[in-house]
Amino acid sequence: MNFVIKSNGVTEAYDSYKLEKSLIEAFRITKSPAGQAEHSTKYVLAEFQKWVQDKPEITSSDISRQVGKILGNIDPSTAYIFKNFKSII
Amino acid sequence: MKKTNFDFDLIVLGSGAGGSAAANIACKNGLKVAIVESDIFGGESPNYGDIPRKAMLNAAHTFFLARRASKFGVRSSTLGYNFPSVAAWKRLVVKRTGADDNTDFYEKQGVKTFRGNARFITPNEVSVNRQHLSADNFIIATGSKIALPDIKNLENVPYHTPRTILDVMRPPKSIFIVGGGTEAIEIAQLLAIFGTKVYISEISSRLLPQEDEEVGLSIENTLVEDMKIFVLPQTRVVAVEKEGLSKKVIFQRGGTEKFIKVDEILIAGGRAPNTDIGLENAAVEYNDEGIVVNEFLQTSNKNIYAAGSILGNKFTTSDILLQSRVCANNILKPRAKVSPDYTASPRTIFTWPEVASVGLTEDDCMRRDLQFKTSIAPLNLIARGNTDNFKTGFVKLICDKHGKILGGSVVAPEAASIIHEIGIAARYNLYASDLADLPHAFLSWNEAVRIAANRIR
Repeated sequence: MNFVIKSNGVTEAYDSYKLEKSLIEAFRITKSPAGQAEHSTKYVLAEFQKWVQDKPEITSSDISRQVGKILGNIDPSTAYIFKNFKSII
Repeated sequence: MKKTNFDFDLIVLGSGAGGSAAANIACKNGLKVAIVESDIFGGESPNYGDIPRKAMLNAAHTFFLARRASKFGVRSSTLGYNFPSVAAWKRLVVKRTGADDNTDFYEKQGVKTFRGNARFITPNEVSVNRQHLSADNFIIATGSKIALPDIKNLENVPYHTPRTILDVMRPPKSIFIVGGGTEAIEIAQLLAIFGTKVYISEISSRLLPQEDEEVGLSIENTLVEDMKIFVLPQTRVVAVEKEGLSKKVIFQRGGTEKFIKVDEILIAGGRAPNTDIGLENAAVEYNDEGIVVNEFLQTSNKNIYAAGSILGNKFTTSDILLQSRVCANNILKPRAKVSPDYTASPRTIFTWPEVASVGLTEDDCMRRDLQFKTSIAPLNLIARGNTDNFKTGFVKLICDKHGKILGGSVVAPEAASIIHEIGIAARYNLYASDLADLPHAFLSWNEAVRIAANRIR
């Protein structure tokens, strides 16, 4: 199980559902077509899972940065929105 | 050292050449030190790199020279080798280094050891298996990993790396090596001596493009003539395919696409720094080459230093040990910081014959717009070349226009030892005439250094 240290210092278990919700919200803001948004969300979640699997503990900024990086390769405008969410997790 | 509430005065990330020396020096000087290793204690060089490779090369070269000893009247009708015994020899040598994933070495010195992936969570804190460790200072020496070249279908075809090839049960019948650097050349020679048909490819126009042309051509000549290795310069591997038990390597050379079928493929090209350790959380700047440091090996966070291949792919193990000592010094004596001086750092390849160089190459001089002079002394000019029947190597010196030694290269048996004479001369601003005037032991290989120095006019 992976844990996330939030910016307020609180640690909680990593929840991919929360990340998925944030991604869906970012795609909604950029008005991405539903099919494309769903496909991209699945891709980002899978790539992020690969990255996080050997990291028992990460920070919420790590999530923002890494997801932004993965998303940036396929959809830069949604990546920009995602990276600038005030609080995602 | 100022008083803090941190767990340690210094945490070293990585126990290889870049980390170990610094951890021990800091501990001996009274700091409370921890070292974190994500892989195997001792790091790459003693466990998977220089040491096991040299141990196996020693066996290979002994076999190779014994086969050629009939010239001296030495004959053996039963000359052979047993590869599992060679592998056992390698394991014994690794064990004798004391590294071999051994934490006792550190614990006895008072260095606390932790095993796991360290990740910065704040500038003064790392998480190791969810255990938070804090320190006033850090040294990042997390090294590098093999960077896979852009070769189509590589992910679907099994391949070796320099780390895995030394663990094979028997030498493959044939191998294609992608990359023509130091590791690749040493492994090519090792396998060729034990009977493998070796192809070695390099994108540049010759092997060892970072060294002087004579060096690259000389080693290429040895590989081709003495070891029957197929050297493929100016070659770009574009794809690989699996065909039954064989592997098909497709490459571009001279404007045409060709292929070769081999038993194994070895990827021995570039390396990428291990920077995925939460550096952003510690405000440490890095780029694709590695962590960015100043002349004191200090990162953008002044309490965090870095050493080794995390700084880039150009450093030898001796450079990295020097960096490690420099980091320790600069943490212990923040008001008397020093910078690493690479002037006399030797670059070596433990082939037969050995290749060694130090200081500036001709290309370095041209890039710096320096006026320079060179001289070469072939080994067939000295008595030792005659007694040992070795005539193909040379000593090359590079001097400024006044004759001050700037660097040099040696291709010879024991070149890695000979090179230090040139290194000392370059480091302490000696002139070629100083080396020429120095009496050199008759029948030593170093006589070629004197002759080369004497030829500088």
